[in-house]
This record gives sequence, structure tokens and C-alpha cells, in this order.
Amino acid sequence: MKKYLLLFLLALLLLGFPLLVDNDYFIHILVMCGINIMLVLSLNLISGFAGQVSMGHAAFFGIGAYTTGLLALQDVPMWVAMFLSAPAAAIFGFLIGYPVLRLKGHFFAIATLGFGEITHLILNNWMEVTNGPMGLSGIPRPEAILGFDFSSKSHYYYMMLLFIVLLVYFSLRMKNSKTGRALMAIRTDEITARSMGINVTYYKNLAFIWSAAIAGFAGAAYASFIQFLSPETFTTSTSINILTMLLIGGIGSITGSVLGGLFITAMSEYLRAFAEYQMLVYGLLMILVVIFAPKGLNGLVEKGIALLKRR
Amino acid sequence: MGQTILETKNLTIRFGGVVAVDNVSISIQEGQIFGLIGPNGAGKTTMFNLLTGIYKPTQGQIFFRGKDITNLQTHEITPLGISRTFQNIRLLKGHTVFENILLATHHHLNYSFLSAFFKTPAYRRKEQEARQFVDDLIEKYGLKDYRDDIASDLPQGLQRKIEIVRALATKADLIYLDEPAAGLNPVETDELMDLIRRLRSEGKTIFLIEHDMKLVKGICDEIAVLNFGQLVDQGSYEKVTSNPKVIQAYLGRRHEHAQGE
Amino acid sequence: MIEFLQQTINGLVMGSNYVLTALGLTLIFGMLDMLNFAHGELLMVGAFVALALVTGLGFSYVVAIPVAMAVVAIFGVIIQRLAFHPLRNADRVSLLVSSLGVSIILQNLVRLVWGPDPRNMPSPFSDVQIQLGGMALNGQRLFVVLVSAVFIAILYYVIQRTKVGIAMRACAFDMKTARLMGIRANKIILMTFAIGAALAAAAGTLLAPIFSVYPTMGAMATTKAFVVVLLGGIGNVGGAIVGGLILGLVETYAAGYWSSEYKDVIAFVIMILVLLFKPAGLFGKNVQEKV
Repeated sequence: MKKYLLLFLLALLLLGFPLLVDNDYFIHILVMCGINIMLVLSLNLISGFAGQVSMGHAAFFGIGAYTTGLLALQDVPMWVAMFLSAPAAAIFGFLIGYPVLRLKGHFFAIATLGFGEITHLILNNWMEVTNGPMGLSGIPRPEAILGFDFSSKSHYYYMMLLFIVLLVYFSLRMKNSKTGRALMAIRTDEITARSMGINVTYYKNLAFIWSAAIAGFAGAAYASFIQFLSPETFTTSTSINILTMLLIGGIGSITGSVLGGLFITAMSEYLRAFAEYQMLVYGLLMILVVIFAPKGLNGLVEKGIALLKRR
Repeated sequence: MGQTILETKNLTIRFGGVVAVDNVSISIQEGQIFGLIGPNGAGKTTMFNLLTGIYKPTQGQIFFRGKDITNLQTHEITPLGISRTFQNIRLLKGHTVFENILLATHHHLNYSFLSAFFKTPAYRRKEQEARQFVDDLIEKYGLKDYRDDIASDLPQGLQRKIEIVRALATKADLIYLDEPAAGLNPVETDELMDLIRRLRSEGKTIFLIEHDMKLVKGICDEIAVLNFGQLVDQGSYEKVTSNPKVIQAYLGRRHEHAQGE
Repeated sequence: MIEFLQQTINGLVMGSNYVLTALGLTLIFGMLDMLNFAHGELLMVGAFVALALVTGLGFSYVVAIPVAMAVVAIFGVIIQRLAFHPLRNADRVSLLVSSLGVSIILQNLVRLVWGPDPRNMPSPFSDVQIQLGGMALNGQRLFVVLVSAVFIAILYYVIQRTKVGIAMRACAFDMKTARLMGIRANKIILMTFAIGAALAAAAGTLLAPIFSVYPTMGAMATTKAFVVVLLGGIGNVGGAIVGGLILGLVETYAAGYWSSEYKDVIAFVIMILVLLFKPAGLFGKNVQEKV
């Protein structure tokens, strides 16, 4: 009962937020936060649930973003362009995933790193299509829907809220079904998983493709919000940021993914004055978390709740 | 007994220059408890790995109920009705006993992700059935007290039992047990023997690898002896243990010999 | 023809650089099953230490090389103790992440101290041209190849012929058994880290006069080193030597005869090809996981 009450209050808070806080800058941060959370949730599917650490996720983010941007600039309706970002990224997820998921842990990580680098290189150098370092500008807003015309940033806020709620639900459903159980078995012990009749290749690919699709869709959201794309947004650095957020939040945890996204985005804003030291802090955090709090923020929250329950 | 449930013909595997399993042809009848013995390094676990699709044979064939399963992958073999336990106990770390056994229901739990996403009545029913199935097994085999404990934290004897129940939960008819008595004290070994006999009385066929001769003598209907990857003898315990070639295989080796007797 | 020879020399320069960087990485990977993402940063730190010695303290370039190597060797050991040793029993992901953290810290620390702009490393060989059979060979490049060859030869000798080297190979092949055979694995691990770090520092210092010194120079180096480790087989020193040279040559030919923008893609393409078709490396053997 208490749980539902809390959730209800949270929902009220989240929905009412833009009405209470009329600060454009703040809303902007929240939208970016939302995009990051989407990315972390997507990475969580392959690196958290399935346990295959991917270091090139920005590539799918970029593929989705550029798909949307390029289509929109060709006068494809924005919602259609955004929608198509997911299958576009998913296709690459399949093409890369199928050969590379066979590889064990480290090798898979390096391969995804390589894929991320190649994608960035192509985005940066394929002038005819992507306009290279000069980027794509003038991407339109999404068409008006249900009274939201996206002229105000708070409209994007609600859009992101919807996407995230759907994604969290999606992740929960996956986790609590045979699919989730299979993935977690694969993460822990592939041979046992096979022994239980689980087609490891199929499930790894499934997780990777969905992961790519969602990251791609986050790219679409980004393209529609910022309305300008540059290859510099989709670098290995970005991939590592997403991984950092997942780690600090708690790898494998859905709540953790949200927390991690929130925490790091909030921290980057707070540390904006110290932008120079930001990455340094991240690096240090990564090491500290992995040594002292391997379950991340979510683990700390759980421990906190357990302590409170004992009182 | 009845029909042949498992048969191998000239099963061979080479790793580089080493022939780990050399031209082995055995057949196991439905409902038997079949034992595989031999000195360490004889190729017994390799046999199991071949039979469960973890290794691909260099030569030879494997038949399950007459069907050629030689080139099937592990996850394709389990749904046919075959399951195994491991020499080094492979229970999922960090998961409870219940969760470990629930995993085994994977291949006979049939719903699409779509129905899981929308929580359809069919999905809910099937999940409930699977969970009930697991709970029934847990109750039946005396694991109720440990249901929500982390499996890998429990004592070894219990872990082996859990692994066996997990194998049962795949609804397998043929179960491979790889050294189930390893690390068990005599009391636990007796309990294990009772458990295996109980499985047979429920119609399961058991194929086990063991070093513990007391157990082998006590429950196996038939035994095969492997040495240097080759089949040295096959038959009843008495027949096999009086075969001079078998005795030579054990005594001729300078490391461990079979316990008990 | 001259063009080809010129490219070959350049390829050897890059190749020997890759070898030096990859040697430490392959040994550590073999021993600890750990992908050290911070390895390239050791190269970078080595270059900066040498830079500081030369421009700040007036050391000569040639003397700066071994001093930088020693400093970075100690540094490498400290990093191992602080960031990797606590995680020795954790899963591989944790080690990978920790090394990522170290890499980020090093890159940013250096950037804060020295700034992001590339700096010049003065060397007495940079402006020297040696005439050889109608070709003008740059002195620095020749120096790089020669010194690298010396270091590689020394390491190869140590690995193959000395007791320590055999212990290192044993650990890289099967740590558990090596321990059982009485090898003081922890000591060997520290030594390997130190040597790997020193060689990386050497690589950075040798190349600095050619490509200048900047905080992110290590990132690409790490990736290329991975490719070399993959090519040669994990833990395989001889393989790393051949693999590094192959990568250097192929890359340089491709850049010269095809496109220099996509030069770095070559490494990734090779990486993916190796991972797909020969995951144990050109010289490695496929080892089955024991069940």
C-alpha cells in the first residue's frame, strides 16, 4: 500500500514539475537527462541483463539520430523519421551483433569499441551525406500531437517522461519473464544456460538488437530536441559516459539505470563551473564504485532500505 | 527395461594430437542406471560433453531414442529430454534455489515476449504453472526449507541435490550425472543412492560417472569402463571388476585409484 | 620503388611502436585475463615525463628516454596496486572498468597540468637526414626503429632465456599452475606491469618528436595495441612482435596508396576480421573451456 502511495506521489511530482518550475534552462537539463536515461536503459539490456559489456553504444545513438535528421531534412514527417531511427539502429545492431556476440567478454568489448570508432569516423568523414564536422542543422520539431506543439521545452519533457515510463515498463517485463531469466543466466554462466535449453546466440542477439533500437530512438529524441547534429556528440567518450552512468547507477538494475542517468547528468550540470575537472571526477568515481560499491547507487539504496527496515 | 534410449557408435574426438575419446560404442536401455568408470583423465567427462553437444565429435554418431543427435547443439539437445549435472557444480551464483530450478523450465515454458509484455492471461497462467511446478519439485525432494536461500551458499551435498532437481525440472527422461558423489560423506552418499533409485522408479534413465565404487556397485545396473579414451569393458559390476584389463587400467596408473570396494 | 621503400620504413616505425606498446599489454592480458584500457595512457605519461625532463630540466633527449621509462615503470606498479590489485578476485568487467577509470583520470590530469594542445618534443635526430641508396632517411625515424629493435630484442631474450622470463610466460599461460609450481606470481605480476609500462613509455618517448605530445595520444595507442595483441595471440610475445609490424606496415601502405583519412579504420577492420576468423590470433591455439 505504501509503495503505491509513494509511486502516486512521484507520478504527481513528475507530471506537475514543469508547471511548478518555470525555468527553461532547468527543463532543458531534465530533457537531456531523459535522453541519457533512455541510453542507459538501453545499454542495461545488453550489458546489464545479458552481461556483455558494450563500449560502442554511442554508435547506435548516432545512427538513430542521423537517420532521423537526414530523413527529416528530406521532408519526411518528423514522427515517421523518429520512428524509423529504431529499426535503422536495430539493423546495425543485428549486422554487428551477429558476428561479434560470439566473442567472449573482453573481445566483445573491444569489438564494440572498434565499431563505435568506425561509426564516428564515418559520420565525421562522409561529407556528402552527413556533412562531416559541420553537422546537420535545421532539423524540424516533431509535428503537433494532442495539443503539444513542441514550441516549449516542457512539451519535450512530457515526451521524454512517456518514453522513459514505457522503457522502464519494457525493461521490467523483460526482466520478469523467461527472456530476462535467460539473459541473466547467460550473464552468469553460458554453459549452464545452454544446458537449460537456452539458445544463447539468439538471446544475446535479441538483447543487443533491442538495445540498439532503443539507443537509436534516444538519438531520434535528441535530434528532435537539439535540432542540430554533430559527429562530436557520438564519440567513444559518449559511449564511455553511458557505461559510467550504468555502472554508477548499478549495472543490471533498472532503478539503477535511472539513478545513474540522473546522478551523472545532474553532476555534470553542477560541475559545469568546474567542467575541466568533470571527467576527472568521473574517472575517480568509476574506480571507487567498482571497488567499494559494485552494485552502484541502486545497491546503496537497497542497503539503506534494508537498514531502515531493521529499525 | 525396454528400448535403447541412448546409443553411441564409434564416438571419437581428437584434440590436436590427443585422442580423448576413442571409438566408443555403448548403448543404454530405458530405465537403467548406467555407470561410467575409469581412471582420471580417461575421457569420461569428455564423453558427457560430447553427448550434450558441448564438443563436436571428430567421428562417430550419437542416437537418442533412435534419432541422430550427433550434430545438435546443447540447447537443442535439452528439449529432447536430456539433461546433466556438472563435475564442478554449476549453480548460478547469486540466485536462490527456487530461481535456479525455475531456470530449467525455460524450454518447456512457451510464451512470446509480446504476451509477457502485455501480461496476457495466457502468460500469467503459464508462469504460474511453471512456478507451481518448481515448488512441487522442491517440496517433493525435500528442499522446501532452502527455497529462498542463495544456492551457492549452501553445503556441497545440498548443492548437488539441487543440481539434480534442476536437471529433473527440465522434464528430462535421461539424466547425466557427473561424479555426483564427489565430496560427499558416506551418509550423504547413501542419501544420493536413494535419490537416484527413486528417480529410476519414476521412469528416469540415469547415466553417471563415478569414482565411488560403493555407489557404483550399489546402484548401477550396468557399467562401462573407459581408459585412455577407449572402452575397455562393459557389463555388470562383477563381470567388469574381475576383468584383468580393467584391474590393470586402475593399478597400472600411478595416481589415484578407485575408492571404496 | 623509392616511394615503396619510404613507406616501408614508415611502416616499420609505426610497427615497432605498436610492438613496444603491445608487449606489456599482451603479457598482462595473458596473466590476469585483464584488458588494461589505461595502457595507452602510460605511453602518454611517458612522453610527457620525457617532455618535462627535456624542456623543463634540460635533460638531453637520449637520457630522458630511460629516465622516463623508469618513472613510468614505478608509476605502473603504483596503479596496479591501487586500482587493480583490490579487484583481483572480481569479475573481468570490474577490472576493465577500473582501468577505464584510470585512463580517464590520467588523460584529464595531464590535460589539466599541461593543457590540451600538442607540444613539440625536441630531439637531436629530428633534423638529421641520412642518405641511403638514393633515399633520404629521417634520423629520428631511424633512431626509433633501431632503439625499438634493441628493446624488443632484449625483452625477447629475457622472455625466452631467463628464469624470470620463463616464469612470466608460465604465468601468462596458466597462472594457477604457475603458482602451484612455486612461482611467486604476485612478484611476477608487478614486474610485468613495470616492464610493460616502461616499454609503453619508451614507445611514447620515441614517437614524440615525430608526432608531438598531447593528452589524448594514448587512446588510439591502446586500441591499436589491442589489435596487435589479438593478431599475435594473447600472451604471445613473438606473436605481438610480428603482429605489430604487420599492423604498422599494412596501415602505412593503406594510408599511402589509398586514403589517409580512413587509416585508423584499417586497424579496426583487421581487428574485426581477426575476431571473426582467427580469435586466437594468427599464432594462437584455440583452447577449449574446461567443463
